[in-house]
Amino acid sequence: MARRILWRLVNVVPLLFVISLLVFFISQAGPADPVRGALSQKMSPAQIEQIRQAYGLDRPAWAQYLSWLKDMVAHGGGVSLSLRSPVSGIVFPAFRNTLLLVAGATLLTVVLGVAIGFVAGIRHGRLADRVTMLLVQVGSNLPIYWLGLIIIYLTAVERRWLPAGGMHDLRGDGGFGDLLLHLVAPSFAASLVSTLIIARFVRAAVIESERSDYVRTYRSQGFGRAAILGKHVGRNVLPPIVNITGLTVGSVITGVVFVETIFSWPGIGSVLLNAIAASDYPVIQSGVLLVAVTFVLVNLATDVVLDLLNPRLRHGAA
Amino acid sequence: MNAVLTVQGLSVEFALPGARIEAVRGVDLEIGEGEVLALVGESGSGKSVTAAAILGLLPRDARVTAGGVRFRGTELVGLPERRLNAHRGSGIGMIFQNPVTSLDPSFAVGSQLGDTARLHLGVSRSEAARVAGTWLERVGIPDPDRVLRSYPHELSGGMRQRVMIALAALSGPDLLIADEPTTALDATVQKQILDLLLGLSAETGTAVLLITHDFGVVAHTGSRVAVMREGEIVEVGETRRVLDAPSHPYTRSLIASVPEIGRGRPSAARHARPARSAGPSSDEAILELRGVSKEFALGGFGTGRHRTTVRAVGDVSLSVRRGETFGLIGESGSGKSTLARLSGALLPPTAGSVLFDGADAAAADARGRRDLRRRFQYVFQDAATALNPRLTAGDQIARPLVRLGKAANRREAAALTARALELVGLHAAHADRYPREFSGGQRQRVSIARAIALEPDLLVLDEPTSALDVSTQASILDLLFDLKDELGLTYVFIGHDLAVIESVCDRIGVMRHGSLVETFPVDDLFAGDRHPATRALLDAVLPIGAAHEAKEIS
Amino acid sequence: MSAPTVPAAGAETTAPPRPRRSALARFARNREAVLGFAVIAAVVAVSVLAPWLAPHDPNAADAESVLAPTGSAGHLLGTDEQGRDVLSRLLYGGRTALVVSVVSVTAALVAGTAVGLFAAFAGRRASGALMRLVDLMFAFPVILVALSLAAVVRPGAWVLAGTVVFGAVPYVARIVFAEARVEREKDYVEAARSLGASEAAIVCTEVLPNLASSVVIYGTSLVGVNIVFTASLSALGLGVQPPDADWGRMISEGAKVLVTGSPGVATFPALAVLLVALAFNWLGDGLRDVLNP
Repeated sequence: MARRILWRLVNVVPLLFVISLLVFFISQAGPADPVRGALSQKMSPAQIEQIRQAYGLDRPAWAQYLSWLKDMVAHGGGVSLSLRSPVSGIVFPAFRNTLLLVAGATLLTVVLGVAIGFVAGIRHGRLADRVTMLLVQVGSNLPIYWLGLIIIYLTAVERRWLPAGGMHDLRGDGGFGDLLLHLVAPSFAASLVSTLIIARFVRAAVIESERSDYVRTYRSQGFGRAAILGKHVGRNVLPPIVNITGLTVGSVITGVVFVETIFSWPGIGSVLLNAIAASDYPVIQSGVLLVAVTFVLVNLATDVVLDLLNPRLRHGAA
Repeated sequence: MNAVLTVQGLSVEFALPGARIEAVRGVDLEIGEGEVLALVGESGSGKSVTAAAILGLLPRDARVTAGGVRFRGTELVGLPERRLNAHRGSGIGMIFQNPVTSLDPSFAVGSQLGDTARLHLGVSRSEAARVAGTWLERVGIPDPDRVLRSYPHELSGGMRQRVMIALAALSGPDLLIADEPTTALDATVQKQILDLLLGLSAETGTAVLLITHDFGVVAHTGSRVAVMREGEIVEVGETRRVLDAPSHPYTRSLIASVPEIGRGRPSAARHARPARSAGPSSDEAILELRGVSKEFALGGFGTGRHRTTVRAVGDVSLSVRRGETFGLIGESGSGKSTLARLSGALLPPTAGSVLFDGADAAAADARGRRDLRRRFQYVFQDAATALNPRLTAGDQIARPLVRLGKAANRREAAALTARALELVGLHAAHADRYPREFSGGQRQRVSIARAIALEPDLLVLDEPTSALDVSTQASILDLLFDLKDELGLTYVFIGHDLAVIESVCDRIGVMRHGSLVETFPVDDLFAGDRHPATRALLDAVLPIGAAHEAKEIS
Repeated sequence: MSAPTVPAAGAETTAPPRPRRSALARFARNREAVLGFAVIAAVVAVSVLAPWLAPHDPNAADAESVLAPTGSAGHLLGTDEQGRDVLSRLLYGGRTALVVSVVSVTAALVAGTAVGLFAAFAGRRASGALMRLVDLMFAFPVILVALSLAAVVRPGAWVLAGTVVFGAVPYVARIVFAEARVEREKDYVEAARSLGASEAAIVCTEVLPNLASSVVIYGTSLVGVNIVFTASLSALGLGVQPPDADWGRMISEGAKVLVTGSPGVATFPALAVLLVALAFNWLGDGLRDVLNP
């Protein structure tokens, strides 16, 4: 058990290394010279060379990689080329906002996805199941951008239930309740696709588990359906649910980036899109690396939880 | 007779896409108090569906269309789930075929038994644990405390089935329904489990409805037997009477198809026993194994587990003579299938050498290996998986013919394919069918055709009839015999059923824990100095004939 | 009830084979598959014939009729903020998304199948290393791929294509790997080996036919998923660039006027995306029933 978890930890290291390499090469492979892109005024070649040296762009690639990595780890990247301020000051606050939205969306994804999937699964083949699954199919194929607009229209324009965007009410006190209110609509929009993935998955797992031989055993024993669903079906669909939840965090992050611009959420998505427009590589790299590393850690946590849930591992293989 | 359970005119229908299938048609059954009734039939006869219908456990697409089930005066058919639950477990307990999947893998045995005890006996948590422990002892588990804490995957198949029996019997039901309770188990374990079940029934006065496809099991257990075929009961009666003098022709043909130990080939066979050695058996060894061992590695780098090796076959020496039928028998996990794969050079041995016709298989060059492949053929246990589901029968027979140089071109291969199909009793037009379009027996025929089309010298038959019904088994065994005579083949016949092995083989080798413990001519099977492993297999046989009373053997 | 007859031993073999229904006939009877196929065929036809069908130049701005409502004369579905005809843009708008999705998914199917098959039949170490690489791709949120690609090659169709391939390959590889591992353990593989087939022949002629239907079914629904996904990327500005007509871009361009009384500008392309994506889903589900009877 401990050995297995340790093995998983060890496995993460090469993964992080490869990701960091790929992210590093974004600036190497880019078509725009970062210096030239940043400084559009006329400059003498000597001046440009001077700046290149200042940024360390004249050294061999591996040396640049090492100092780049050191920089990344120590203080979250260098200096933004377009904003001329430390990358960490731009990326970290935006990433914190994004994490907030990811957390909200993940929570909604799991709660709604499991609930919808469970209900559809136990009503399998009935009207409730068919209607739900039709909605799921339509919902997962709606363009998220348009859906976000419709949500804003319905909840903020037509009825003034929720704020139309942003993180805080400009006139309000910026308290926690206000933040929550601003979180609802973007979280929902960002979670939708993942919610539907989970719902479909949970439904299938519930149906399969209800058809299993062991559930038949407990039915033959006279246990009520509720007891069997709660204990045996619940326990056996838990590991696949944890697994799929870990995997959908990636699609939640994708959803969040899509949604941020629609809801004017000051997150990493908008920062990255602006940085791309300005060829601001330090910001792009720092942002991408931050999100990627977070994702890898979430997956690691999922795997460890799955190991802990598996009685075969807890009690030694047969 | 005071009936515990009465089934009257029960009919069950399956609504499949595009078809309605009546799986059970007007079945009548009556089980008296404390009585053991065996319900016997081939696959698809509707016996398991009947059992499921009694407890209202039919799959979603099936429903009872007519008839009723009365248990202790209560009509169970049409009862809502909640009222039915009052009888499930406490009134009628059920034991299922596959103990591997029938216990929840996520809960310890003690927790599963404890839940049942609390539900039916209304006892406290600690009392439930005590009850669970006593029941494990009653079903013959030597260390109940350890097993209570174990998860199902940590127990052997036999142990799991004991736990299943404890689970079903713990609440003291009046009737136990056992659906093929020993089919997934080894022969030696089968008898223990059956005797446990019968012992419990005698002790507590619990009636048992035992569903099986095996007439040996019927003979061993039931006081009465009902024979089922295509959804209908064709014959009911006192077990001894039905087995000795079946009145229905179907029962008669079924019983005749069962190979019986010490009796030679079943009567359905056209060959009397002497014909068995009619083949040109000689002293020349066609296959020779010298000190062959095989180890498998488990775990190791990249799996997060310690690396261990498991010895599947250890130091086996053996020679098979041209023209004979050599039987290899052993329980599951004894290494008999691994040995067969080693003999065919499908697996490289860890140690030792395999000689085919005097030449070392490992030393053969590419050409020699191709020749060896052709002359040495396999028939696998389950033709449903041994045939590629996406290729036509003809393709599967023809391709190796071209590949191994038996046919020069496709046309020639097609002609040989047609001939092979006709040799195994199929039609040449079957060549463009896919495997799923054949019945089980036909599929095994295709599989045999694929092997013999190459005109091999040696055929390894890896439990070729284990997946088939008895009547189909008899016809496939007949076919194999005809082919052996016609084509001058040598057979290595692997099996777990001693009666089948005894009826078809000239010599028998017995395997246990990866070793070949002894080999002997078939006529010496009953000799006094047989190895304990052989005797254990003999003791486990459940004969159906009157000559061998069940009690006599046990 | 018919009188019971006793099956003679071997009776099962005498029945001559019956004719069977072809896969095409099964397809024609499957309503879902036919509907999906019809919608896709219609959309493809319209996209190809757009230059002849479109009533206006999709990029011609008509300052006279800005934001014409749906149903106005000459502009059946109205016009956008710049006075461009929504219907004409709609007819053109699926071209890039369809081509990119179909081509990229096909490429991903080929690559993913090759990787999955190779890993399933390779030695334990090679297979472990390969599948770890696949997991790594799996672990990378696709949006980051799109953003990184956009930083390297500038936003455009190539960003869409690269992102779709990168996102789809690990999914396909995992599915093929899992299924091939199951197939590998089946007796027919060993039977083929005992019949002299080489490993390459086993993989290509024995195992691959058993995976083909799953790959096709999975690929079909992947196209649907990626039509929606590329629309979102284009809406974000990472895909098709203005002034080209594209459903995704049309949605984001129509965003400003959605709440101000011209919902059609963004909604019609959104419905187009939904319809095409659903059609691919239906076709995939239908194929599942047809190919795996």
